[in-house]
Amino acid sequence: MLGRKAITRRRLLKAGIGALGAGALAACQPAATPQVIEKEVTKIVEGTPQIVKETVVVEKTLVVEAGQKPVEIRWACYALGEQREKTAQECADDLMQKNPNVKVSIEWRPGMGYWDKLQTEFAAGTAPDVTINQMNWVIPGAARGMFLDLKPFIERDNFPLDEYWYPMNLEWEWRGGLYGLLVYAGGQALYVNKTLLAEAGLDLPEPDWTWDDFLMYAQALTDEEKGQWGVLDAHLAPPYWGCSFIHGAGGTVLNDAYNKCTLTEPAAIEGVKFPHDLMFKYKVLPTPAAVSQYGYFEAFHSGKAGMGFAGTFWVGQVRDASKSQGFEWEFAHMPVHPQTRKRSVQLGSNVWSILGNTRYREESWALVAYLGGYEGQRKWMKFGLPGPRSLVESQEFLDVWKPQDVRIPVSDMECCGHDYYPTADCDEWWNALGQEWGPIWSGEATVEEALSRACAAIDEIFARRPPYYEKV
Amino acid sequence: MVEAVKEPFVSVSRASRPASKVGLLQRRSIRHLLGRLVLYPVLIAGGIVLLIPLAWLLSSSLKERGAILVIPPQWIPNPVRWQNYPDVWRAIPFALFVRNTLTITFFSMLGTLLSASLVAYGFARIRFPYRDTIFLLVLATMMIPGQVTLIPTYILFRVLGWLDTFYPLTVPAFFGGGAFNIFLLRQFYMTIPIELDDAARIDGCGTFQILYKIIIPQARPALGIIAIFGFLGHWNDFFGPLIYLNSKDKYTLALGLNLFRHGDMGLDANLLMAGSMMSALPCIALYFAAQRYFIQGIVFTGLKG
Amino acid sequence: MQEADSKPQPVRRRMSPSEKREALEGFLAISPWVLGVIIFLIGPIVASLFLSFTEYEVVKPPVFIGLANYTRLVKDRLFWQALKVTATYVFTSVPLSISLAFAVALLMNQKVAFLGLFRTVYYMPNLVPSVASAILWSWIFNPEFGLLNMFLRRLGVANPPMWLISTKWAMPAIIIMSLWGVGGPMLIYLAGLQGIPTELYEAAEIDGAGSVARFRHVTLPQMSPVLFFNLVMGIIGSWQVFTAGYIMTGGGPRYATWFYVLYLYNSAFRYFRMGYASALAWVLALIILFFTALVFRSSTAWVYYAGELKGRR
Repeated sequence: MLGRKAITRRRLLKAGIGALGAGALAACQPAATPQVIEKEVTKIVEGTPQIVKETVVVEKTLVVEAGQKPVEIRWACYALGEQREKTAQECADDLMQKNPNVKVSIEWRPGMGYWDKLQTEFAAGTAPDVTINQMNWVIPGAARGMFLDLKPFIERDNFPLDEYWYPMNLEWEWRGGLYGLLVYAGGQALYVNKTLLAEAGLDLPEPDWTWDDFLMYAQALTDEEKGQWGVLDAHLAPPYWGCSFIHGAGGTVLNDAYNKCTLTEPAAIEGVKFPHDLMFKYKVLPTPAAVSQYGYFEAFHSGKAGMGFAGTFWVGQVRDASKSQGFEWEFAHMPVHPQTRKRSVQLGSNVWSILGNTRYREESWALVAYLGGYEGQRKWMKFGLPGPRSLVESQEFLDVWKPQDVRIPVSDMECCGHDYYPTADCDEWWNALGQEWGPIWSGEATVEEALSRACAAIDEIFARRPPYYEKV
Repeated sequence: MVEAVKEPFVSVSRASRPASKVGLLQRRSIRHLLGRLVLYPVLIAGGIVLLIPLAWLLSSSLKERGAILVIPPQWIPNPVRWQNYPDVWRAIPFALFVRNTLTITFFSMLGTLLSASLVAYGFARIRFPYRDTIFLLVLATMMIPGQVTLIPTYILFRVLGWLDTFYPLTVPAFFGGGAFNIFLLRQFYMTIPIELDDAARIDGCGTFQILYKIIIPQARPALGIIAIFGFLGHWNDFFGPLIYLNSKDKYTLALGLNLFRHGDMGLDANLLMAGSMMSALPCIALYFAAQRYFIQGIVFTGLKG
Repeated sequence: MQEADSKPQPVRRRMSPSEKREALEGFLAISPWVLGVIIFLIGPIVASLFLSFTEYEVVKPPVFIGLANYTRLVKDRLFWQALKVTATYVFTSVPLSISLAFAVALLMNQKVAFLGLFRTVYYMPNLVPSVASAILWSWIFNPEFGLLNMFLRRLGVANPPMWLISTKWAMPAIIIMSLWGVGGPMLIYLAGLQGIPTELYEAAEIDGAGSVARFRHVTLPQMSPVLFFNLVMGIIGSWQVFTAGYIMTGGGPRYATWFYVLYLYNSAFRYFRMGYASALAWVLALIILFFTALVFRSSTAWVYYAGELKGRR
């Protein structure tokens, strides 16, 4: 039978791997030897056991010379809550078990001031070895040598980066180098409140629904008396969710080389006018004035919004709120622009990076490769989307995210994900953009005025850039 | 006006009392009553305004996690979740953080009180060349924002080997205690009449004995303020401990509370508020006790204090 | 009139032995501070001055560029905006907070029932960590659901201001919030008030002084050292206002709350321009020093010390 044969083959393979491993150790080069194996694993796919081939990074076992001193690497991250911290510790323990000469000590730090402290430590030479990283830190740091390029390691060890469905190059690449591996993947998702939809007599939207359909849904779901909103999008400012409308209309925030602002072009203006109309003309989207300062998605959490844009990493909060307030919810596809037929969502994830002045590159790479590899991604996938395609398509993963259909945001991200315009000076031009962007939504400026002022400010910043800020 | 400033009414003949004593008193007691009728409502109204944000803090601390994000905002939590408080205690090593914070605060306050009282005395009561210029320099040290001296200071402490210890947070307090405290004490010392010093000198006291015997007892309210401000400053200090402490078992309360924020991935707001309330309580209790001891309101006996 | 002023001294005069001893005592008394400066402060301060002449991207070594940071600063419109915003804040909030704190302290100095309770309540805002209170105030200033606007609507105001998201009202909002911390200066005033000998009041009353005259001729002069302290500290502190802008507004909208130290912080830790930030810091230090020196100069005219000892005998 298929099953029996598979098991037998698996046993053979296991023995083969063991022999290979032992052989590698016996060869005993002083440098670390990577071990990447193509495994055949039995998986239950739709009820029948089938053999599925997966390329898996077998956790790196670093070869230890006789008399080599144990190495301690410091892994820093901001506090992530009890569950994620437990998972991180499991990963560290697993790695330490496989590499007895390596000790991984995790430093949980406060989130506020994390970046200030990391920069200070780097300047003084006392930085940790591995750190959590985020979109406004990675490229600026990479451009200045703060983070290690992982491409050499990836190529040397055959890390299966092409197995990823998530476009790592868009977000975390800089001048050909890659500067982090996923904590987990994520990005913009559209949450809908099924209970409210049913009350309004609506079905879940079709995958290819347009902006006009979207508007209709939003209007049906808005009820001023009940204090109910059709849609929420409190993170409009580029590079966040507002970009998806700009891209859908055919515009962009910056040109391809990321050195000129293109927000004054008609398509971009149209893309900003749409949410502006949602807010002021159709009144289905609350103004910032109407959104509490406490968090940014409360109306949805309170069951008072029919739809809302938020990151996939927000799913834990939504699950809690839906349980506590008693409503059902589901994901929906990003609507397409009626004329251009374009759909766009923003990508947004976190990565683990290695600090540029670490003394223990191999050991740090072992940790990062574990976390970004199959085993690590599998452990973290209850919190976010895993990077490897085999995992994101596996039943196991779909089960974790039940009863919602996580394939919806995943497919949107895969086909139509856009990066957040990473540049070496993100914080500066995002701030300049944000300053001019705000008055649009408080009614103090028109869309055209604000966007032209924003472009002027952004281009001024870009004009003063030193040459090494350029993307290529 | 200048004349009046320079020469307050010190010596006045007591013989000139007004004739109609009864009338004056009557008028005064009615004015007194009217004053009270205005005073109390104003004080109470002001107090309520000041307390409202804190009431919100308390209310948030008793809410469920999902409920804290509800709009319109609810004042009365429903259900009331007292469990938040023990949860905070469990979620972070609260007692350990309190102990660390107490240690740092205690030594800083000690160092500040000891050294500031001495240094301020030098600027207030002793004459030496360039004294006032040097005093301006003391103030000048407060004029450079800390952001630009952070990295050199951090490197300095690295060289001293004090990273991930309490020393950067406590030892500098023993060297003057900070310009703020020196300045405050100097001002208070300078309100103490010089005649007291002269009298003591005639009795044979040396300069530093005067400090110990005369000045410090007279400056008790100011020292009390320094103690209160010092306690609060170190109890709530976030940035100093953030930069210099790495090990979680050395963290202070301010750092510990910030562990409830999970970067972009969420915020345990109700636990954060509960933790902030618990953190504020010792400060409130201490302040309430201290202000009664150091600041007694209108005093009817003696020269001062 | 100015009888307390010393006569002009000859510039160089040999000190008598007792003067020498006193000078020695003086240096001894301030020695902890001097030592502290030498050990902990001199290095970083000189370093920051040096860094202001470099381009220092924090995670790369500094590169000497001469006066480029300073010339850039003069042409930087964000620098001038920061100066304007911060100066507005300083010249509004300092007088307001000083007088408000003084008024409150005078109120607190009466024999009132529950005095201790009142004093605690009025000081409570200072007991809340500044970050938590910034969050609380963001909520209070929320244009739709915030307490303040709900209250204003109750009073009949049709379109209450949008506070933190309005370019016009963001700064007033922050000033209002700063007044919430009135307990700090209030406490210092209280301590000063307590130190006024009551015989002065009695004597003034006997001389026929009404309460206003007593205030002018007893309270104010006796409190002038404390007033001076709060004024100088107010200036030094408010020029460096930071947390409110950092937490609540990010400097906006449209740079309406673009405080100087916020710009400095952004340059240092967000834009990788620590050298420029250092130049900003030194310019600010000079500005603050200028105003402080002004106040110091003026203090001989209006500050009365019962126990002052002028520089030389």
